[in-house]
Amino acid sequence: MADHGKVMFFLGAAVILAFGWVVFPYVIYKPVNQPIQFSHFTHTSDNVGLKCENCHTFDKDGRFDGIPKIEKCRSCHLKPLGISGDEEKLERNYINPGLEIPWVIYSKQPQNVFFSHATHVKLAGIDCQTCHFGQAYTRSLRPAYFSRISGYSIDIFGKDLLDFPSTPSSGMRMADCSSCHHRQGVKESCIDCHK
Amino acid sequence: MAKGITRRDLLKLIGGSAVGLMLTPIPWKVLDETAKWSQNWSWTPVPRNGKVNFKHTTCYLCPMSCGARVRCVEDQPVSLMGIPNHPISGGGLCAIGLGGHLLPYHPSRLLQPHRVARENGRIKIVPISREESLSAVTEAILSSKQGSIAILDGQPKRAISFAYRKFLAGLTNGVYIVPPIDAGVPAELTLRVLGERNLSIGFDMENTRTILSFGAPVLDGWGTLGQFSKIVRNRTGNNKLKVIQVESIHSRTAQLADQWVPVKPGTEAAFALAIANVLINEKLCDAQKLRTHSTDFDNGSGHSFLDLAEKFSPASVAERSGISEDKIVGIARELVSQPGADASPARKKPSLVAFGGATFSRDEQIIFMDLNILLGAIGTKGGLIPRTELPDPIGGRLTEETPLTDVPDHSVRVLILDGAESGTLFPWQMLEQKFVPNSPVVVSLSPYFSGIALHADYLIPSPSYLESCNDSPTPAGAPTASYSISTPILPAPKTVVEPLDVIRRISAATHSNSGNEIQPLKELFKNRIEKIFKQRRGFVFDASTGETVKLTTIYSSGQLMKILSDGGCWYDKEFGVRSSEFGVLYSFLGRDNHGFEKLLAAADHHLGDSGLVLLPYAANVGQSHQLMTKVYRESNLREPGNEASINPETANKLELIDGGSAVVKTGNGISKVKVKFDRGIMPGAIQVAVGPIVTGYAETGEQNILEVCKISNDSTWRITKAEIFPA
Repeated sequence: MADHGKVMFFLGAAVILAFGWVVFPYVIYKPVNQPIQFSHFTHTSDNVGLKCENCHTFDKDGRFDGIPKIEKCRSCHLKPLGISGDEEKLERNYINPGLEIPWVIYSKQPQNVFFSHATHVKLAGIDCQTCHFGQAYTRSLRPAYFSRISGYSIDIFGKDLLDFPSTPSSGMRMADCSSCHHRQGVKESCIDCHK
Repeated sequence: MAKGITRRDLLKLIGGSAVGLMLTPIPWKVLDETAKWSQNWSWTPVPRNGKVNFKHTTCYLCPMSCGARVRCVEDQPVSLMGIPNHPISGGGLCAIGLGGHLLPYHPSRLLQPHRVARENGRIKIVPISREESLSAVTEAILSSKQGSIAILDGQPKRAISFAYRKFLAGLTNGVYIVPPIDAGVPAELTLRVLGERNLSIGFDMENTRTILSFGAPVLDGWGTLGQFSKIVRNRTGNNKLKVIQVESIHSRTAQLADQWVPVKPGTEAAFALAIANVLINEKLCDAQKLRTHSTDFDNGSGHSFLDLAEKFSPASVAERSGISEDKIVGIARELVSQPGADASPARKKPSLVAFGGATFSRDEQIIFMDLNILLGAIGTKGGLIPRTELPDPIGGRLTEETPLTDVPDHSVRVLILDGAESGTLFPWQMLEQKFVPNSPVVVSLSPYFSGIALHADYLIPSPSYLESCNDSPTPAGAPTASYSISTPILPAPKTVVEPLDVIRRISAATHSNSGNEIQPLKELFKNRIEKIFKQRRGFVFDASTGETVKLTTIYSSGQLMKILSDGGCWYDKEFGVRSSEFGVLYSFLGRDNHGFEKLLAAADHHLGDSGLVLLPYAANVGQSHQLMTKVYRESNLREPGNEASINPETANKLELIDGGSAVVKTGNGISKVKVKFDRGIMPGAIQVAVGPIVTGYAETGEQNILEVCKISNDSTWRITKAEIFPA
């Protein structure tokens, strides 16, 4: 009887441990696909030869425009340039009716924080690839994962499930920013990032 | 042997699952995610996304006139920062200035007029309409047969200040009250010592060699931020600026100074006279010149300043002040020494005596001024500099400025509290003793229900910071004149009332003969700027370009108005009057018949060694503002208002426990405090910071430490005999 009880105890523990470490990470985050499978590779390869800054521009006042508007796409894709279904979808659903593409943002910061691309690219002279390594050569867009509870993206708070706020991880939390700043010897203050 | 699953097995399964759960990320991640989810509740105010742009304005949260760069998302300010190269603030902003964009949303913000009801020690505020509030104030003014109608203006010399004075001049019983100033020389002191009523004096600390500071927080945010940053910069290198802090309190300036002189409470004036004694007896000042330039330095009457200083030999003062004779003599010599024997007259820098004006009595301040005269610091670069006054924006008859200490007791029937923050702390009792005994009426125009507004009967809120147009005249302690304008960034709620509208409305209802002549605020700014433009002197800082040009290169007053409205600043670099132009006879004892006796009494005044004394302290408004609750609660940047620091030896005798609760009792009341042992506090003293009441306005029954201070006959409140016992 005693052995039977031990088995049940450890069975319960094992099942929940397996659920917690294997299944839970898939349950807590909700994948959201992009409306169009955009290929950075097609645009940056030798055939087209675009650079990052051709589409991801800075405004006159130095502010980063981020994702290009549909007008930017229209300037080249007024007529089909290829044969992919996603290009057809682009023209049918967005360019022709003049609607903006509802891109899903991977790394939308909490409302009390802002990240300045202008400061990092223009002032510090950091190359896009330093942070967005390999992004320019992707052939499709991965799904964005959002927490089912907080609604924040996994790209912000990181993939680490045991989330200690003071240690840097793979996301874009304060500890991640501070860690990089410290490594680079760059001073920081609260109002650099917090609104 | 039973094979089925029993109830016990199920319980063990659940137990195992519970243990296992703790070893998975599930509870911790869910907890963390729930905390983040709670940041995004629908009612949480969130700045909208939009185009980021920058605007410039001038901060008027205190009289120091710092330039502020406002980062906006669309039209919504989301952060404030200093304007680089700003001539007044040098690119800095204080803690409250940096958070100024949040003040319109502060919990103490009032969005409509209220009547204050007090029942059983509790305060209840009842919303009333704008018309009701204005009618109530008008009625109070019309029905006041006895007593005066007064306005307390926290920031005198603004355009609105002149409108107040014009309005009061139209009444038969109008009094315009200015609060004590902390960073500067009060006009009445200038009059009594230098014989000049309309002479504004500033401290030229940037060019000083040694500052002998009597309680002035010179290393803790005294004066403008620009001055402060220059002082800090000047404190490095070989010929560095020295600071000697004479103060009973172990303040931040005392900690940072080159020398802290911990005099016994109340003996600062005696200490100053002992320094004067050494300067005179060791011939370290030009006595012959002083005899020529004064009537009472040494007139042979036996009641001259020389005779006064003779009574305070270093030996006699050493005993009462707790500072050794050698140290007093050393400090006096230090004040007149110059580094290097080859210091040419051109390179010589004077020493000056600074004093926290609001906390010392008038007679004590005269003694500190006398020390400045002995050191040759009056009218000299690096000393106390007279500056030019800004032109008045209004002509005609104006009510004179009356210092709060000069307002007769029991004389004020209706008091209107302007919402501007004076930057100087004083106990409410200083105002309260001015009221007539029966039913005085207090009206607050502050946008907030905090500070002295808590004592008002009617609250008519004005627009908050960033919602209102305002102008910033020369800061009190600045050695040269300056002028800037604060342009609104946010629209004000329709339910709040501009102070000028209150005055004009009351003026019309009371048939005050000046009311209709009061122009709109922007017209007053325009008048003043036109006059500044016509003077053709000084410099103009343009915040949009960050450049400074001579005023003579500005082609019109309209252009000047535009630059100033966009966070710019006009400032003078020249001193107002050269020392040789002074031509005044110094009055060491003040210009009245009883100066000798008064000064003798002020310097003789000390509390003795028996009993405890309460020493309330606060450096300035940026550190003790009632709206700074976030800084106090979350960062420990400043001591909270209910924390009593006491020497462990004194505390042990009184059976107090470190961290325990206690009650401070004075002749004026009691205050509950938390005890903190600190060996830096002198035995026999209880040091309590004047911090905000962090529990908010609903808990106003809890007393601020200033409210238990006793006001002396000479309006001194900083030292009060007290008891402390465990709660």
